[in-house]
Amino acid sequence: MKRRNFLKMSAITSGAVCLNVGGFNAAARAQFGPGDNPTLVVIYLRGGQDQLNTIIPHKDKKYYEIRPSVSIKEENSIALDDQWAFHPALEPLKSWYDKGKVAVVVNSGSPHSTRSHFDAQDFMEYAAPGNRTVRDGWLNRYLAATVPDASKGYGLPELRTLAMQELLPRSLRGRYPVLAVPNNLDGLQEVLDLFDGFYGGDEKKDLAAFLKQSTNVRSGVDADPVMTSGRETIYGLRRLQEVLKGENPEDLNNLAFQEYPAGHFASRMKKLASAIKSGVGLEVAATDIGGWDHHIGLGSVDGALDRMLKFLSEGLSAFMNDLGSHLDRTMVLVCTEFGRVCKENGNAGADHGHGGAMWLLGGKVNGGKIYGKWTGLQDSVLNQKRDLPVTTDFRDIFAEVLQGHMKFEVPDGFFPKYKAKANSLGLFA
Amino acid sequence: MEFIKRRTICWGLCILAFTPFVSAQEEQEDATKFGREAREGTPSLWRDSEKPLDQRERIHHLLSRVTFGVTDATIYEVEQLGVDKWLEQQLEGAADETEALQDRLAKIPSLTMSNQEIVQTYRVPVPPLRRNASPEERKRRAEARAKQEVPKNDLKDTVLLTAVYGKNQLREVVCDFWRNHFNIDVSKGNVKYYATEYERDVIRGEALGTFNAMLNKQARHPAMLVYLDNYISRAAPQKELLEAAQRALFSTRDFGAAMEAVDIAKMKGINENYARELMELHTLGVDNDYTQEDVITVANILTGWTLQQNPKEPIVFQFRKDMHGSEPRMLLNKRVPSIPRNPEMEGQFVLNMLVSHEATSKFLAYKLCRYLVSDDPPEDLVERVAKVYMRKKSDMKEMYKAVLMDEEFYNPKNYQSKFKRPSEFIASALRVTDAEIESTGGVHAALLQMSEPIYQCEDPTGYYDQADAWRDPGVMAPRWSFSLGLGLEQIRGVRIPASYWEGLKQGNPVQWKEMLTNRILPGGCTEKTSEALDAVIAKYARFNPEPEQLGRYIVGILLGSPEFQRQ
Repeated sequence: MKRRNFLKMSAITSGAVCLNVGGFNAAARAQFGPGDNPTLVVIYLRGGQDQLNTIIPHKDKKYYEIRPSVSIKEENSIALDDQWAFHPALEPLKSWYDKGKVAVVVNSGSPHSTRSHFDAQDFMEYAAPGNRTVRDGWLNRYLAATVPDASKGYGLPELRTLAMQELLPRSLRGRYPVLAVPNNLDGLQEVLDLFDGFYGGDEKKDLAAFLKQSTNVRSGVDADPVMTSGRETIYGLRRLQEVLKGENPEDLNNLAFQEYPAGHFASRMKKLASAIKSGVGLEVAATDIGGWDHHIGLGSVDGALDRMLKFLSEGLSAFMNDLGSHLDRTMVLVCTEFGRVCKENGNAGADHGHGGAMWLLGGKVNGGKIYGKWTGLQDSVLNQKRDLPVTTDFRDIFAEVLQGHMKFEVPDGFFPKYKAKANSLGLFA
Repeated sequence: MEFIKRRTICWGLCILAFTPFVSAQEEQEDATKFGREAREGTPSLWRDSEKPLDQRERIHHLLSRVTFGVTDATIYEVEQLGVDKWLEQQLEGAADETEALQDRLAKIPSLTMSNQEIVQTYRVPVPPLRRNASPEERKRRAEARAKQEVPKNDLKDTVLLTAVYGKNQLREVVCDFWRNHFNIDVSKGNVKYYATEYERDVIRGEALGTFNAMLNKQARHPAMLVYLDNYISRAAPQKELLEAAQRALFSTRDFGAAMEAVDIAKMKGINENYARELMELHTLGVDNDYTQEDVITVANILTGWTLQQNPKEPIVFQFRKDMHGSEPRMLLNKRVPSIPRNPEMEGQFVLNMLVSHEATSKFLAYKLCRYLVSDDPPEDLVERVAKVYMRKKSDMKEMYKAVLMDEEFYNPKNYQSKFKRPSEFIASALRVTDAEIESTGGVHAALLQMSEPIYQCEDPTGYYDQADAWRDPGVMAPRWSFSLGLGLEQIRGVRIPASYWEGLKQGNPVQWKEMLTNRILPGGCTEKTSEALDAVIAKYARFNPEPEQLGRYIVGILLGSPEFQRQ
């Protein structure tokens, strides 16, 4: 299909649909031209990522006491200051931290006390702790609330949002259609063409419907979800293929293996970097990394955590390098549902805890700094005498990212029963 | 099965005191809240959704939900036997399996092995990887590693083959349900050596039995004990044990077993993983009446529920008093007695409490209705099924019947309203094409690509069973690749037999299209699909393809059509 038509169509339609989406009034939001919009990439570490062995309170004797076999010895960790040190596997991020491009919020998390992965993930990704009626992810709500205003000369970019995996994370699920990108993008051309007639059809009518879908009518009578899903698959993947080919004319099939490490995570980050650099208007992207549930074998300098942090930090560092000047408008937010119990259990692991670490990289973040109120490891201050307490509500961070980085004035009701505080942490001073 | 017998004897002592369902349930004040709500169904497109289903549609609907794909042959079977009789036969799991399937399964030796036999046969030592290893050494190492994967791969094949070729389709479908409910992941540690027996005894063995039995069996099964870490949960540290186990590490040939022993000995406290999921996912449903304290209490009560892991003895459940701490405790506002003479019964008491808890009946009824009826099942149906669960003492067949024989099941709103999960899509595509699976690698790869590999769901929740979770924009692409690949015989190891194309020897493309459409979409299709198919046929017909070649394209397209994604 022709992109020009698409943009023309979107210019006609999107002005009309940007009002009253997502159940609250569309919010004031700065307008951006194509190619200079801010982008947010959310990486979810599923399973409950352990804070204590990642951002280490290396001068605290108690830390070594309660983690006799899995603590990171002082000589092995990477000291940041008199209080904090990185796990050695985070070495690739140290220089970014020194350059002020990395910030960490310790003891962050949910006010809800659940230790269930699934609840905690839901609550965080819907940004509605304890509330089971919200069914649109917080990133999806943001997208629905900020359909660009065509009257200001900027149409709806077709790739505003991408999930770099086969299924959407809950944060991106909801009324605004989000493309789930299969790992093997190449080689899909034939089927996309073949099934166009079955799921697509009349281009004009489809585009109108597609754009209508983009807002709040997904459950309408004429919107058959199977057809819709097929249509979105075709339009979205075709466009993404074009974009990636444009950025990487020589080598679409072997994207990840130059400056990036091997593996799906790096390959996804590489594709995202290409999409961002192409100026297609990508605003929100997400990907998951599973397997952080280290009840067993968390390990010290050589365990499971070490391995996983290594590919995370190497992938992130390569991504930031690749972005070059685009890094200023691109922010990566790394979150997890909860941290782990402070004391190690009998298996060189740790059970589900409460407070955890959230990471912000790139953009205009005021980095090189550890944020969040740290209260130490004494039993008396721990949550239920076992976990790091939550001293920063994750919604404070989400709100600050939306306001400080995405330039989105978070309206009341965006976070149910929660009023976003302006700049409470000062991440974007 | 030896251990089951032994258990029964022990239970005999306490059975009177602890049999679930003996007392009337206390009133539950809170309405049961369920974990997930579906937002929207998948409306049926090509018929008036108000019009009651006619007889043919009723059969089609039933088969859509209790088989892995409606084929001509199953429709014929139901028409011959009558719905009630067919259902009865299915509920008994009494249909004769084909010889082809039986022969195929008979050739997989690990299927009938005990945990112990599997460990002895397949858990071969893997030589350590040395930097300057010779090609010979590397080869031996690779072979040893491959051998360890054999029982896991055999199991995955069995699940796939019985889903596609099994005659007791209802059983295969409910096995799939329970496999997700009591999820284990063969990628985790030693689970892969115990999963074969788990599937055989726990899932398949009880899918047409009672929930009580299934719950009890999974709680004691080595696969679950390892998957959710309960095997290492202990009340008191044991220094001597740890030292002994560590010493054993240096003198053993079976490193896997020795490591497990070290794990157990090292465990200095309770591990809450299993206790939490037992209540959250297996019985009460999330947040129904229990608290974090209850989780800790259950974890304490279940300390010592572990496995005998020395391969010289049967690898079965073992209660270890030395790992258990006995004291009376409060759970869900009830007193769990301390039973020092037979402390395993404290855990039994908890299982009985959970099985007979009203929240469990509602949670299971809701999940079952969501699975068999609609993503958003009507509350009154759920309630009726929950009552049957209580009245019939967790008899599963009675529950399935309560769902499938309820007139609400046939509400036209439900007809073709569920979006197939990837595994359902793939199994049904293989069924309607009479596909011959010579080797399974290509199919497993497709399942992995669509995020639903068999027995490999990392999360204890199991795979989602609602459409919403599987219908994201983008997911259709791998389905289309599979569809066309299957038609054109590009899926590794899978072919459509020559007999499938018999009907194409005469007639013309229009007739072929009609014949294949009836076969693949017995519920019919929309005009849009029909017209789009005409367009493709017209385009390919210009090149004068062989009838079979054209037929292959038509099949590939029909499998990727919107209609085939529904059930």
